[in-house]
Amino acid sequence: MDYFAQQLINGLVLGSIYGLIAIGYTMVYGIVGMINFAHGDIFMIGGFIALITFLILISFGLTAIPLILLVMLLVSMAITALYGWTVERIAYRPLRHSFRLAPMLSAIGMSFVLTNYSQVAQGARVKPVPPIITGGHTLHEGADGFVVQLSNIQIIVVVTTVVLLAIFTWLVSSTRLGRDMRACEQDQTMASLLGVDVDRTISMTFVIGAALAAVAGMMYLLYYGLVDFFMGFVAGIKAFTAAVLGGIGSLPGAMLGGLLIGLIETLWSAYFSVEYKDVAAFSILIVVLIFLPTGLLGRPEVEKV
Amino acid sequence: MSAASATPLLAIRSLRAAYGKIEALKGVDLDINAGEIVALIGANGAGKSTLMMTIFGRPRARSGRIEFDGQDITGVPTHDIARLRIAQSPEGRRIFPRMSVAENLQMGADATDSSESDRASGLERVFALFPRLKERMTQRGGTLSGGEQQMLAIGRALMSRPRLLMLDEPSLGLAPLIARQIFDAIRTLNRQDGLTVLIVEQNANHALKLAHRGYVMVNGLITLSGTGSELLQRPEIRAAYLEGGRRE
Repeated sequence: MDYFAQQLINGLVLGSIYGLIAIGYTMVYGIVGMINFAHGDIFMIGGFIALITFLILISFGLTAIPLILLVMLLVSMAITALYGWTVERIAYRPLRHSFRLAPMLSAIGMSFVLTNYSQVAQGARVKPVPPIITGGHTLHEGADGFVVQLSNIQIIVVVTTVVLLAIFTWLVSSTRLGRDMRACEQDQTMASLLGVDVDRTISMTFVIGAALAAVAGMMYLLYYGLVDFFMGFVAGIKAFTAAVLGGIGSLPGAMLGGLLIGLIETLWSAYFSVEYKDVAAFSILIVVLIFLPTGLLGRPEVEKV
Repeated sequence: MSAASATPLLAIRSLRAAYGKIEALKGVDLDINAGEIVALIGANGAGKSTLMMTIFGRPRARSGRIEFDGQDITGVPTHDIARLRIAQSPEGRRIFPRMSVAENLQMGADATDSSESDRASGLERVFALFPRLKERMTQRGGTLSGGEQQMLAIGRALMSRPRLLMLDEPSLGLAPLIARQIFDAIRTLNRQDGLTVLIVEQNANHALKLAHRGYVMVNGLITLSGTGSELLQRPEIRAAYLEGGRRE
């Protein structure tokens, strides 16, 4: 039981990170109907920028951890958002009225560009970072000596995710930008007849998605203590899986899918084999898609109008 | 035939527009004076809806000129045209199906960056015309009946406090009683607030009785124009659009 509780905690933390990335996939799909395959690499860029910011702050002799974390978060979100904006501007917007596959192919290309650019700029080796946040809490000590631990970094990952999701949900449901985004998602022509600048709204969608991915990248860096140029690929595919599992286009679905993929992966690793954790995650996806083609919280493509 | 005195609120000159290779507007001239209701009638596929959309730049005019209140808007981006307070209840209504009625109306108010008080008085006006919408405020647009959606589409357009209101087939698919309600509402808006209206209709009889002036469109061209009652008298109009004739 203790062991299970511990795995549940680990799974939720991993799931939070996947969920943050998955939102970017699902938002972009909802509004422009394409899968942004470069999104995983945006997550990787976010991790690198957090690391670089950390090293710069340390080299200035800064030691206040909360301040360092806050600056890392803000800088990483801002610069990664700029990457997201740029990718849309140069690789997708010119192809918006082209044939349907064109932006997707461009996205795959963009993914290669970002991966290799990071490899060239930052080197191919894994970049470790010393533990920035240490310590934790013992929740329960079992009779057999197994200890259920909740580390401070796990708390930070989950709390940051929850706070950001709350802000993000408010933004989408109650602000003018959020309303404009939903209008563009439902009917771009009508949105523009009502004065919505569709191009600008799409840009903002990429900016927000990239900022959330940057947070995920930074959390990944803090949690696993490393980044490398290739980490966006697998994490991106997992988060994409999460978005599809939850129902692509659905924001709560992306978060739910992220949590489920995180849990499945962790529990499978804990009870069966670490080697086959990806197989487990993707198998669940296949099963869900066979019986629920629109995902857990997705809606059928055709609406009665 | 048109009132040639003051500059019209909307002036369209030799307007051509096309979807790909199919030319939908082949040189259209049309004037709308401030305070007028103008009806545009014609068969399916004549180009009526295209004309309304071309005023908004979707599709862009191939040639010709569109002037609103003396300003050339032929090349203005679609979202900036809405800011000039031209509003449209388009073909197919295009309600946002997964937004509440309240949010759909808010989208209309956002179109012209309305202040809070403008928004409140706009809502009051819409509820006075369509009390049904008030009961449906929290309901999703996609769950409304056809008539309610039509009311919402018109209400949304009104929320932007338009100087020119364009309505595409407001009576399409509606029960006669509801259609009459909507025509009454348009008349009220015109008489009380002096709202300028361009109305596209297949129901020529209703539209021409409502309108001060009318235009008849055939195959992308204006073939006839005149006051509503003049057009109603024309034998070719009666044959084609009124007496159950050839309404393709």
